[in-house]
Amino acid sequence: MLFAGKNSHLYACIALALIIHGGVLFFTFTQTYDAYVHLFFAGHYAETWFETWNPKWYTGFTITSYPPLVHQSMALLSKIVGLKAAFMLWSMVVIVLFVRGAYHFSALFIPEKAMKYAGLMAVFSFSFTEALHVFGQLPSLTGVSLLLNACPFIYKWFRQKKARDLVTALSLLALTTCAHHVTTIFGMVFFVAPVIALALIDNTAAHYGLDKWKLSQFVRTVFKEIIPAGAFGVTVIVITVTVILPYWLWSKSDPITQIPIPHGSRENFIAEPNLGIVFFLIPWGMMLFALPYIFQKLYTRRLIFFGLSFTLLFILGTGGTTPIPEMLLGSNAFNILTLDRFTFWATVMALPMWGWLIYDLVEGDLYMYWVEKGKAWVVRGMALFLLAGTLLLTGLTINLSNFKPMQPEQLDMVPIVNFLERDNHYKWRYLTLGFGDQVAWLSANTKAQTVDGNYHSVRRLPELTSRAVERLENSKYLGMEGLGSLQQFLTIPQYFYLKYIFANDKFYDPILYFSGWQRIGNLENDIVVWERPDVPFLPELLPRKDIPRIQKWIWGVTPLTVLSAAVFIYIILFRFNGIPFYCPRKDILPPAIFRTGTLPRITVLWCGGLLLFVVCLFTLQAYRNHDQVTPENTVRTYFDAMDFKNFPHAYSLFEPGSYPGFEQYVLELSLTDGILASYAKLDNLVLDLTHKEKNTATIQAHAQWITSLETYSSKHEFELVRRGPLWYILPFPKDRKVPAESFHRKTEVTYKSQGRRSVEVRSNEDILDRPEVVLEEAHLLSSKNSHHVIGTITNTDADPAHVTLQAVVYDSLGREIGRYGLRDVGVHALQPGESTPFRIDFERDGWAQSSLRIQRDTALLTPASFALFANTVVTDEELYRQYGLEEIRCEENGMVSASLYNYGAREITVPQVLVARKQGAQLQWVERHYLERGVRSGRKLFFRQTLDGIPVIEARTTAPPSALIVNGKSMEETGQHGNSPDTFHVTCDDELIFFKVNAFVNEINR
Amino acid sequence: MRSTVEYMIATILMILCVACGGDYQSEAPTVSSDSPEGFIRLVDTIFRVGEPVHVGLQGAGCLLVTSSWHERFLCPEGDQRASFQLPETFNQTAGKLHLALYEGGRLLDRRIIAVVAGQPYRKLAGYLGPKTISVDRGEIAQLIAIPTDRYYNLCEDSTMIEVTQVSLESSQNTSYLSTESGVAYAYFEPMTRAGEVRIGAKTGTAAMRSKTLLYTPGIPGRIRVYKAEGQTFTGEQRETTVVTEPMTDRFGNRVTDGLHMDFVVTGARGGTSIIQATTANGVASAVIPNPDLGGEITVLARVPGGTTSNTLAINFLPEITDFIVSLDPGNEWLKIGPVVNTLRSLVADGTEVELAFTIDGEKRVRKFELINGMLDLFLASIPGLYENGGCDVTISSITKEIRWKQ
Repeated sequence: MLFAGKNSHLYACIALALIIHGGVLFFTFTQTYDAYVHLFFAGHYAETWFETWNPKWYTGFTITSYPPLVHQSMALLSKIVGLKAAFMLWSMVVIVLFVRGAYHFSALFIPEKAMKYAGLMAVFSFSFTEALHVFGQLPSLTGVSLLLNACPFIYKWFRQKKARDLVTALSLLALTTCAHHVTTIFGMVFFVAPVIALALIDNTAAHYGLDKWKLSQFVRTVFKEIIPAGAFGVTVIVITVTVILPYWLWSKSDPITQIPIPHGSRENFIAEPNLGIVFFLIPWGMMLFALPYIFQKLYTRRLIFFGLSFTLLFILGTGGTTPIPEMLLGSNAFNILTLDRFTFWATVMALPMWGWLIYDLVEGDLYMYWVEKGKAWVVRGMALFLLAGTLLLTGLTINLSNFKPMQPEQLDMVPIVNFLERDNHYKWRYLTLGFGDQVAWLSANTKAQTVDGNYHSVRRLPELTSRAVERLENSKYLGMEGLGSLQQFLTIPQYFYLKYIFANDKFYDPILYFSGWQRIGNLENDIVVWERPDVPFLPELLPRKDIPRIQKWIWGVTPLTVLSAAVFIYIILFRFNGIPFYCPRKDILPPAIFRTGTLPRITVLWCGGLLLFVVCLFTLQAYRNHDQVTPENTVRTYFDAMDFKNFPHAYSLFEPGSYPGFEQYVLELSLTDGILASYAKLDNLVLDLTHKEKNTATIQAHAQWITSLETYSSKHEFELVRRGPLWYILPFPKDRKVPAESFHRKTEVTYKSQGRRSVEVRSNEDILDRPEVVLEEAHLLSSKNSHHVIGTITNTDADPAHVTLQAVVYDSLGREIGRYGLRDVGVHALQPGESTPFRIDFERDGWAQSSLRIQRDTALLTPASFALFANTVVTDEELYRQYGLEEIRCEENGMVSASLYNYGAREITVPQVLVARKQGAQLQWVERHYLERGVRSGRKLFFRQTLDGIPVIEARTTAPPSALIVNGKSMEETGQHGNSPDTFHVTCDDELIFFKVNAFVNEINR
Repeated sequence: MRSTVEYMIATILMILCVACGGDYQSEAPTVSSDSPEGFIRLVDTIFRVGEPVHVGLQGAGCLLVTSSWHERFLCPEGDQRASFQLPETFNQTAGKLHLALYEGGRLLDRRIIAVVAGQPYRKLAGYLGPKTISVDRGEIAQLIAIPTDRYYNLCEDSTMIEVTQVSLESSQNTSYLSTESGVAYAYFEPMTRAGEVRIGAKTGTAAMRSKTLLYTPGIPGRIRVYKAEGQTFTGEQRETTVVTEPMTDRFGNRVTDGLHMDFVVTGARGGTSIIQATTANGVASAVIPNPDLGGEITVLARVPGGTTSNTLAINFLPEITDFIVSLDPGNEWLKIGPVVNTLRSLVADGTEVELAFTIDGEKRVRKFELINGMLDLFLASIPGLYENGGCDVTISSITKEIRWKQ
C-alpha cells in the first residue's frame, strides 16, 4: 500500500492536494493578483541578494518593506529552474505544509477518526484555493501553513514542558515571521493564545476530570502557568523583532502616511454583491451550511477561547457590511488592513470542525442518529450535497479567473524588454497602462525603471501617496481621482524622467495625445508605445535610501538561516527521536455527545433555510437581470453590451427584421467614432420610462461616462416594442448624408526625423536645431482657489515644433514656489506659422501637497511673479489639419455654435475646441471643450457649446518679456514678444472669441 | 588616480633619498643655480610636442619634473645621469615643464622647458549652429573650428584655417580665419536665397567634416486665392476647393511646406467659417462646403500674424428652385417630392426639410430628411402641429406655406 501506516491518511491528502492544486497551478498562477509581485521581489534577490534598495518602482523603494523568506527561497530556486518554476516549486511546498498543518491542527480539536476528513477538506479548502489560485498570496499562505504546524507544538509544550516542543514551536514561529509577519502578529492573538488557553484547560481537565473542573481551578492553572506563558510570549516577540529587524526599523523610519487605498474587503458586501462573493461567499463556500455546527462545536467549555477567536474573525471578515469591524479595529487599522485575511483565518480555524461534520455525516454521530431514525437517506443526501458542492465550488474557484478575468490577457514581455534595451531607452523611466499585475513581471525582466509599481505600501512620491490610487496603471478603474493622479505624471514627465508609456488599453489614447505625448508605433505584441519628446536622461546618480551594512546582512542571512535551523530541528527531533505526529489528546477529548439534542435539527434547518435563500436569491436575480423582460432591462442590457463591445448581443436586442442584417449593423457601428463611442466606460445609467403602453414604450436614458479626459453625460431616446414576452429596441434614425466625393484625393505634408543615423556615434549633426517659437503674451491669473497662466504661442520656424511649456511662480522674495506644465488646454505640436492659446492650471490642492515640488507652508504660496519657459524640438508627428469650423455663431445664454468640417482623408477621432476670450486687447481666459463624437472624412459635426464661467480673478500679473523664455533665450533678447497673432475671431457680448481646433486622429481609423 | 599614485611614489622616493642622504631639512629649499654639488644640463629649452626631451644631471640629486597635470621624481643612476630622456607623458601636452634638482631636501637647481603645440593633425573639430536659419528673420549662424595637433593640444594662435562654402548657385567661396586662443569663428548671415549651403574647413593636413547650413524661406510676401474648377450650386453635400497661387517670400523663395494657413469664409447668411490648410509645394488649398443658400460668399486666406490674401467672391446658384408638396384631405399625411434639382435629377439623400409651426406663439422647427427625393410625413405624430392654421415647409431656402384643409 502506497499510503499505508500511521500517517497514511495525511500522505494521501497531501498527494491529492499536490495533484489537484499543483496540477492546475500551472494554468492559474499567471492570472492571480499577486504572483507577479512576488516574482518581482524574488527577481530582486536573484539579482542582488544583499542590496536593499530597489530603484525599479516608485523612483526607488526599500526592499526590507516585505518579509523576505518566500522571495529569497524563490530567488535561490530560480538559480536552478528560473523564476516562474521557482514560484511553482515553493507553491508545492506551501500546499504540503498547509495540508499537513491543517491535519495536525485538527488533532487539537477532533477525534482521530475525523482527522482524515479534516485533511481532506483542507485539500478542498475554499479560502486556500482562492488565496492560491485567485490571489496568489504565497507569503501569507506560507505564514499560515507554518503557524498551523506550530500550534500543536505550542500546545504540547504547555502540556508537557518538553524543550524540544518549545524549540520546534519557536523555530516555526520565527519562520512564520520571516514569511509573513502579519500572520505571526495576528496569529498570536487569534491562534496561539487560544491554543495556550486550550492547553491550560486540558491541564486543568487532566487534573480535575474532564467534566468536573471549575473556572476557579482553571484560573489557578493559569496563574501557575503565567510565567512560562509570559516567557513564551516575550520570546516570540523578541524573535519576531529580531529575525526581520530591518523591516521594523524601516517601518519606524518610513511609517505609512499615505491616503488609504480602497479595498473590496472593507466594503459593504450587501451593497456590493460582487465583492461579497469574492471576499465572503467564495472563501466560506459550503462551510456556510455548517456554521451552526461549527459554532456549536466551538462554544464548548474546552474550546471556548477558540469559539471567541472564531467569532471575532468571522465578524471582522464581514468588512464594511456592518460597522462592528471598524469599531473593533479603529478607523486607522480598518482602513489599512485588508479584512479578507480575517475570513481566511476564520475558515482555516473552522477546518477541523468542517472535517468533523463530514465525518459525522459519513460515519459518525449524525449518520448514526439518522440511521437509527430510519432515515439514512437524509444524512446521505446531506453528505452528498456538501461534498458535491465542495467539489463544484472548488472547481469554480480555481477557474474563477477564467469566468471573470481579473487580469488582461497574458502579454509577451519580450518586445517591451527589447525596446527598453534598445538605443539606451532604459535610461529613461517608463509607465505601463492596462497591464494589470503583469507590470511586476515586466519589471522583473528589465533593468529599466517605472514611476509606477505594484506594492503601494512603499510609494514615496507625493503625487501617489496623496491619492487613494493603488496604481497608475489601472487608474481607469479609479475614477477621476485615478485619472487625476495619472494626469500629473503625464503633464510634468520631466521631473520623473518619464519618457515612454506602454499602453495596452486604448482608453488612455486621448489623454496621452492631448497631454502632449506622441505615439511612435506598435510593438510586436500590439502594445502601443507613446513617447514624450524633450525629456532628460536619468542622472547617473539617483537618490537612494541606504541602510547600515549590518542590517543588510541580517536581512540577507537570517531568513534562510532560520529556515535551515527549522528544517534541521524538525528532522533531528522528529526523525531521530521518533516523536509521534499526533498530539496527545485522547485523555481530554469529549466523548460523542451529538446523537441527541438540538444540533441535528438546527443544522438541518439552517442548511435548508440557507439553500432556500440562495435558490430564491439567484432566481430573483436571474429574473431581474433577464435581458428583455422589461423595457428598462432591454435598454440596460443594450448599454452593457455596448460597453463591453458585445455587438452580437446588442444586435439581438433590436426588433427582428428591423435591420437588413448583423453586417449592416456592425458597419454602421464601425462608422461611429469619438470619445464616447470608442474611449469611454459607462459609469452610471439612469432610465426614465417616459411612455409605456401594452406593446410600445419610450425610454430616455441618461448615461454617465468616464473617459480619460473628463466625465460625460449623454441623453439617448429609445423606442421599444413588445413581441411576445420580450421587448425589443427599434432601430435608431440613420445619418443619410454622404460626402460629396466617393473617393478623396488630398495632399498632405509628412515629416520624418532620422534621429541618430549611426548606432556607434551620436553626432552633433544628428541633433536638430530647436525650432524658433514666440511667446506673444502670458498672464498669471489668481483666483480664490486656483492659479492659472494663460497666453499664446506661435511657431515661427520653418519646421514643426513640439512645445514643452512650463510656468514657474515665485513669491515676493523671488523664491520658486510652484512649477507646472501644460496639460491639455493648448496644442503641443505646432506647424510652421501655427499659433495656439494655452492655459496652465495650478490647482490649490496639488500645490499644498508638494506635488509641484514646492514648500508645504501654504501661507507662503502667494505668487508675486512668474516666468514661462518654452522648450521646443522638431517633431515628426502627424499633424493633421485638414478641417475647419463652419458657421461660427454666438448664441444666447453664453453659447457658441459651429460645425466642425473635416475635408481631409482621415477621420478625426476626438476633436477638441480651444476657445480664447479677450476683452479688447487683453486675453481673459482660455478654455477647452471636447466634442463627444468623431468626424469622418468629408463630413461635418454640428455642436453647440456653453462657454465656461470665467473664475473671479483676484490678481492678474503679466509676464515681462524677460520672463518669457524660449529655449533658454528670453523674448526680451529676441524682441518678438507682444505681437499677438492676428487670428480670426467672432464677437459675442463685447468679448472677442478666438477658436482653435485640435484633433486626435487614430491611425487605425485611416 | 594616476597622478596620486605617482605623487605617492615620488614622496616615497623622496623619503628614501632622505633616508639615504641623511639630513632632511624641513625649511624651504634654497636656490643655488651654480651649486657645485649639482645642476641641470639642457640641450634646448624649447621642444615641440612629440619630440624627445633630453636632460642631463651633473653632480648629486634627483630631478622633480612637474607639468600642468602631473609630476614625477626621477633618480637616474650612473651613466644615465649625463643624459636621459624624460618619459613620453611629459612631451605630449603643450605647456611648461618645471625641472627641479633636489638633493637631501635641498633645491640645487631648477629650469623651465617649454613644450609647444604641434601642427594641425588630421581632424579639424567644427561646430555649426544653428544649422537652420530663416532668410528673413535676421538670424546668423556661427561656425566654430578648433584645430588640434596629434596629441589633441590646441594649435598655436594665428593658425590659418581655410573655410569653403559651396553656395546655392554652386559657386564656391573661400575665406580664411585665424585662431585665437586655439579657436576660430566664422559667421554666416542670412542670404536672400533659400536652400542648402555646404561648408568645409581645412588647415594643413587637417580637415573638418563638412557642414550643411539650411536657409529656410520666410513668410509669404503675397497671397492670392482663386476657386478651383467645379460646381457652384448650393447644397451642403457639395464642396468647393479654394487654392492659393504658388506663394513665395519677399525674396522669391517658395514658402516652406507645412506652413499653417487659415481660410476665412463669410457666408451668405453672415456666418463665418475658418478652414485650416497647410502649404505643399508653395500652394495651400482648402475645401469649403457649399452653402445651402444661394448667393455670394467671400474667401480670404491668411497666415496667422502675417500676410492676408485678396478677397475672393464666389456666387452660388440655388440647386433647388421649386418642389412639390401635397396634403391629404384628412390633414394626416404630408407628401413632399419628388424634389428635383436644376439638373433635373433627384436631390441627394439626406437633404434637409424644415417643418416650421407655432405653438403658443413660439416658433418650432422640426427637421426631416429626403430619401430618394421624397418624404412622407405622418403629421399626427407631431405634437402641437394642428394648434394653428398650418405650417411652413422649407427646402434649401425655398419655403412653402401649408394650410390645414377644413
